[in-house]
Amino acid sequence: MELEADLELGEALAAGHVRALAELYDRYGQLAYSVALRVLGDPGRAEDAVQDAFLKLWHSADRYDARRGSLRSWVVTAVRNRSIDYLRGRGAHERREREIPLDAEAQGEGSDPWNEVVTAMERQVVREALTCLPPEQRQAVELAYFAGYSHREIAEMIRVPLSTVKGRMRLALEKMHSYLQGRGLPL
Amino acid sequence: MTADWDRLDHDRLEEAVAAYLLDALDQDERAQLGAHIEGCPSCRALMRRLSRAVHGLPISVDDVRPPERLRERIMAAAAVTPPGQEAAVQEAPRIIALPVRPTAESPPVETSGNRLRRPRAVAYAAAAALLAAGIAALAGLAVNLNNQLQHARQPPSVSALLGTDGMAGASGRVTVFKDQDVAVVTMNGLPQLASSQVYQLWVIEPDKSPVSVGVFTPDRFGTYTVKLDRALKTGTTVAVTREDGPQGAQQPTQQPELRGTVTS
Repeated sequence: MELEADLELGEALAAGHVRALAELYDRYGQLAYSVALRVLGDPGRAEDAVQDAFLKLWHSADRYDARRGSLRSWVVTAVRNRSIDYLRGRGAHERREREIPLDAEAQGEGSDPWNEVVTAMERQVVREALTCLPPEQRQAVELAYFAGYSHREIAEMIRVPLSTVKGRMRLALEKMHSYLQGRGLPL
Repeated sequence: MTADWDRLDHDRLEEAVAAYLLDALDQDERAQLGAHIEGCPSCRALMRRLSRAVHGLPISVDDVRPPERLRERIMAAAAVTPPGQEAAVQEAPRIIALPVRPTAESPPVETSGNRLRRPRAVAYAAAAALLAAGIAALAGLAVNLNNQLQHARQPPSVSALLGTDGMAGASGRVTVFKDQDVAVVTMNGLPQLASSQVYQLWVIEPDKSPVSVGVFTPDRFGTYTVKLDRALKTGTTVAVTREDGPQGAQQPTQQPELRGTVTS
């Protein structure tokens, strides 16, 4: 059902129907803005980042493939990337190729589990999953995802070997996955 | 020996899958791991598992409602740059239109068949005298609204249009992007017109006579959006009247029933 809904909306976007863009924004605009604000900490810049991201999606809608990932993931990835660009002082043209792979979530085992409305309970559980991580693992995840640092930059910043940073990231995601699965969230 | 080296290489790459998903690899590493993952079932399985956690990360942030104007900004910018047409040269429409805030039941509406028509030549000349510098041909601009807004830093000002009397159910907004010398007028809930009539949009600067921007017919939901390539000054009134079609009037023939004043 989610795949069909995303497919339909994606096709309407690619056909240039502004109504589809409005629907995309109405579905995910708040999440997008929340992510941008979390990354940038500045409401004005967060607005700019969200606008940039939605317009990028609007202009590249013909490249969206619902079978490779959800619309939600597509929006969040675009907004997160644009926000990181703003944060790191990069123009869009400087962006290195670093899309979070959509196909990672869609290889035969269903798509983005967070596709639809997120309940307060689900939000709480995800927060708990992060909070339960050892501080150094959580730090590695947050510096990468919400601040846009590479593993190399993180290693230099906190003065640990590169392999340690990679290990912390993996352990953090493994633990988060287990925690979420253990609480029955859709994984 | 080769197998051992392959194993080491695999282990090294596998250890980087989490960093890959968190967008923390350098470009070369990313390319190398991406190529490896394509042919490695165990790394693909690991990536599937860990990606579920990564996709949960955005949900952990505080849920914050964006300002209303953000939706308007995005829709206004998208209206002038349809997909695949960012750099397209069109026949100099001075103003373009689209339905805004479409309802769930409204069908997709193309913008091309819904452009503002110019009033008669005299009115056009009068409008041009005051607005020529401001209302630029959309397709003639080297920089489109999208690009303009992407570089905007000053928040736009938003002023309300309120309907009265025969347009009591109508409303609208004037969004002025001062940095970009652009204003977008959106109107909703306009009543259906008699077949002989058109709506006419006026800009009235303080202590000056009304200047016609053009005539238009809204869609069946009473919505219409107009983009002006000029920033309206504070105190300028934006007004809508019903006039005889198809050309409209040189000056308003009735009190505007939908109007609002641009505030700073």
